[in-house]
Amino acid sequence: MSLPVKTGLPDQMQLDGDFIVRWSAVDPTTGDDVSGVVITEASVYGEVTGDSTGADSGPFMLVPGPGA
Amino acid sequence: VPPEKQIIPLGSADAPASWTLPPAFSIIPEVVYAMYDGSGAAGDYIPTLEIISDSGHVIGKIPMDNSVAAGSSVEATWAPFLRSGGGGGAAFSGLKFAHMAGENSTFADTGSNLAFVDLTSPSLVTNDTTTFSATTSGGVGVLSINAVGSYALFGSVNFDTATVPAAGSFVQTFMTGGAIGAEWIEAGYYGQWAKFSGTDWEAGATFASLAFVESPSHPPPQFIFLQAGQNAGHAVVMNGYLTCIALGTSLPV
Repeated sequence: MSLPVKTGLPDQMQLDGDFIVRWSAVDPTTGDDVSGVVITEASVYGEVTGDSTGADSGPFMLVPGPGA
Repeated sequence: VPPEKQIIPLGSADAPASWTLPPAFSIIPEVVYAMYDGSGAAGDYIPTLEIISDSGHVIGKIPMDNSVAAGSSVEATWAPFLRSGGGGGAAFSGLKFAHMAGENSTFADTGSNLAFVDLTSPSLVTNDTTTFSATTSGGVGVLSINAVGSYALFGSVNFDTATVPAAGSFVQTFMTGGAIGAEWIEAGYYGQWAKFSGTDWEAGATFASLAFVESPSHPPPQFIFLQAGQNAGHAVVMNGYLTCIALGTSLPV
């Protein structure tokens, strides 16, 4: 296992229904997909602003609003 | 305040692995994560996040800065305001640099003198022989910068005298460019100057200069000279070192 890698993500980018989030592994030279790479534990954490029915949710945290 | 949730949409899937958001679902991602198991990877790879709109058009592809070697696994995180750094990717190789060294042992030993350090061609060490090369100008070895851009220059000269110079003597070192007087190097030269008394002097003292140069209008190549001066009144041997790092193509000077 290598050390974790990280990079930026657009701030306040809202993803709506039927949008697709894709985790890929691309060849550094050609940009083509590299076969044989397996994705596990993929997750998206953020503010849910729509109906989450149908979204597969793991452990989550609700942030109480003012006065809660 | 909208609730914050962690969505875990996939179990284990071959890359590229996609998650299509439910029709009425919206989320503003704060962190996107995945574990990349590359034990069976066919080659080196870059973990990449793709966002595709509901019309099927790619909004963006966000690759990590470094590639992962075939057979290696890595945890990948995307989040606003994160920058790459550390990590298990390829070795750092982003900056272009050049280093040269030379000597001047013919300094006159009287009065105030100024001389070039002859940067020798064999001393050139660089990771980009297109951008940097060694050449001579006026019989003096110089560094040639062969591409438009902004560069940081670090120069140092070691002054070695056999005896302690007189009080009030000075030594100085600075770098000059082949287009002095033009805008290629603003103000012509940058340097560092030091004055010392006899008791403060130590043989082998080193003075460094730092300069930022840019070539907005003068075409390359441009030559960088390493110069030094003294009025120490004694024979001086100068050993000089010049390092140049390419910073980019549009930095203001």
